[in-house]
Amino acid sequence: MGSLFYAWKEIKRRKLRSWGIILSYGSAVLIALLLSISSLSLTKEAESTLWDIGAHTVAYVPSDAMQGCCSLVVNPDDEGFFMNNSPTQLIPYSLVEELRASSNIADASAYLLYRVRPIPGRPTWLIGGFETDRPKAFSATMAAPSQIIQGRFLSPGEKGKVMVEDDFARIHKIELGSKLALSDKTFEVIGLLQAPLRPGKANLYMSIHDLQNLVKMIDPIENPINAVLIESKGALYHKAAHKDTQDILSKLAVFSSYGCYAAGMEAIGITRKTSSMLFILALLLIFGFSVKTQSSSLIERKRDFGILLALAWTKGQISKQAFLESMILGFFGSLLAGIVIIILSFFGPFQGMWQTLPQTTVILSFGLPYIGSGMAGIANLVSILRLQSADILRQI
Amino acid sequence: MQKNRLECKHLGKSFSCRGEKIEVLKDIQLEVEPQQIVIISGRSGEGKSSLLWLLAGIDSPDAGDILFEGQNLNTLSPAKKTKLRQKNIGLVFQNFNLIPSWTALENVVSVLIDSPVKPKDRYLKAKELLNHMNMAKQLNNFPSELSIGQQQRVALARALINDPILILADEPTGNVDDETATYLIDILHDHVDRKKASLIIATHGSYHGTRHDKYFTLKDGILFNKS
Repeated sequence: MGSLFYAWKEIKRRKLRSWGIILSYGSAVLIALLLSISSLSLTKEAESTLWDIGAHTVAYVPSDAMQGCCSLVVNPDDEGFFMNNSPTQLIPYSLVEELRASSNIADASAYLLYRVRPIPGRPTWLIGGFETDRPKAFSATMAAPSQIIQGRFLSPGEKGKVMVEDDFARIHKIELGSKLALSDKTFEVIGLLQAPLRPGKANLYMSIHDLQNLVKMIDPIENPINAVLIESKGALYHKAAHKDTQDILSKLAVFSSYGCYAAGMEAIGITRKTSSMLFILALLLIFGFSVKTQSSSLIERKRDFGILLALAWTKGQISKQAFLESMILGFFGSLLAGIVIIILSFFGPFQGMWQTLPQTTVILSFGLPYIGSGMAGIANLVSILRLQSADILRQI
Repeated sequence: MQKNRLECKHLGKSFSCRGEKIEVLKDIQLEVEPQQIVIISGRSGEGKSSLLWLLAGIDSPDAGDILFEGQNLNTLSPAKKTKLRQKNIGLVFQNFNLIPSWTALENVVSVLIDSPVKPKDRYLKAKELLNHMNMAKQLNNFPSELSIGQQQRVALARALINDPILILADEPTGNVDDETATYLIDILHDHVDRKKASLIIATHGSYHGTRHDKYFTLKDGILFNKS
């Protein structure tokens, strides 16, 4: 017949009050969890948009005009390897593989941009060669399948095919399905595209292997490339990806990047901060609610405590009973909220939300009512210890 | 000094109300021997309840001493006063002060929270007491389901369950008819005789008992002996 016995009896007997407290606890936990879920999904949505903003770059190593232009290639009419209108050095393919291993880089792929003069005395053509089996970085920095306006995008491993920039095709009267003769090879036009302004934008694109075979070099090297297309792991990793690239390629490496990654980073930071603030607010709400609920319930019972003190119950016995009561009610309140969340997670906009919650959020949301109850218990203990039964009895 | 004897020396108690000091009890002198029945009468608000609460150790006097069980209550810690009350004192409140969410039986048993008696035996004893007071059918009724007279009986049973050697009863018959009042007083007398206990009854009306050893009137904070 200890404090637990009396605490449980009190909970059972005062059903209305107990349910009121359980519902209060449950609502507080539910609100906190729903706020957490909302703030998490808000962050997720925002980050999915912001994450990749500006997280792409084209890295190359500039060269002086002689090296980059005629000195490496056989055909003196061809202008050689360019990027952003600057002649570039050639880069060994093995460095691309090193870049891929960086923890800050999501994908790196080789790129070759070559200025060829198919007809002597006529303007040069810019040909871009990319790794068709690694289209991610290419899509983000040069041309994406969504920019195809006619035909289709190059498939992985495809050879002897090209995609042509729409305006270039119109000027040169190149049609979809037509054949283009370049050097001693023929290429079929399989797609027309309209890509936005890009640092390594070409007039036509083909597989890097086709372009490497097309380029006749004085001193042939295996798999020549002159740029690396880099997709960093996100706006937050972009700076570090630049550093890794510089460390691997050369201190002289130049980046053609998009400045908006900094804005992306800032926006992600703001979203995360807002989300954390929302979560902290939710937790404070639970905590305050728990303390308030318990304190209100104790004020209600002050009369009983005064009587029990007069009947020779000790303040310790009364405090223990009140504390146990608040813990039991807190438990049932949290349980109720948990059940509601699980049920909700089967329906509509809440579907699957239960699984998306981080463990810490769940633990804090369910744990804080207890901490709140505990704190309320301590506050109650102090107020019970200050109770004078005679003072209370005089008020009855 | 005899162990069961209760003695008050120059007891004083005052309250302040809106900045004004009101002396409720002035220089109270009282001696109660074992098996004595003492009546304190007086109009409402004269300080009878305050005096009983001082004697029970629920409240503390501003002046004077209360000696009981060979100890000065003023020198005892709250915990020791609680122990003393648990073991030796039975209290009947003017308005019963039953816990509304507990049944009649539970209200009676509640006093024995620290008792060495087994829970089952506590309930048996409480049932016996309530049966003795013709409450056998209302054991599991809540106070709100009992009549005033029945509530008074539960309050009385709660005061007697710990076999006290001092019973402090504040208007124990104030809300019942004469027949019931006489019956309840008889129960108290019976306890005094069986346990060699002392009984102090505070009343603002007539006393329904056939015997008393001392009779006091409390007026303007002063206790007058009318024995």
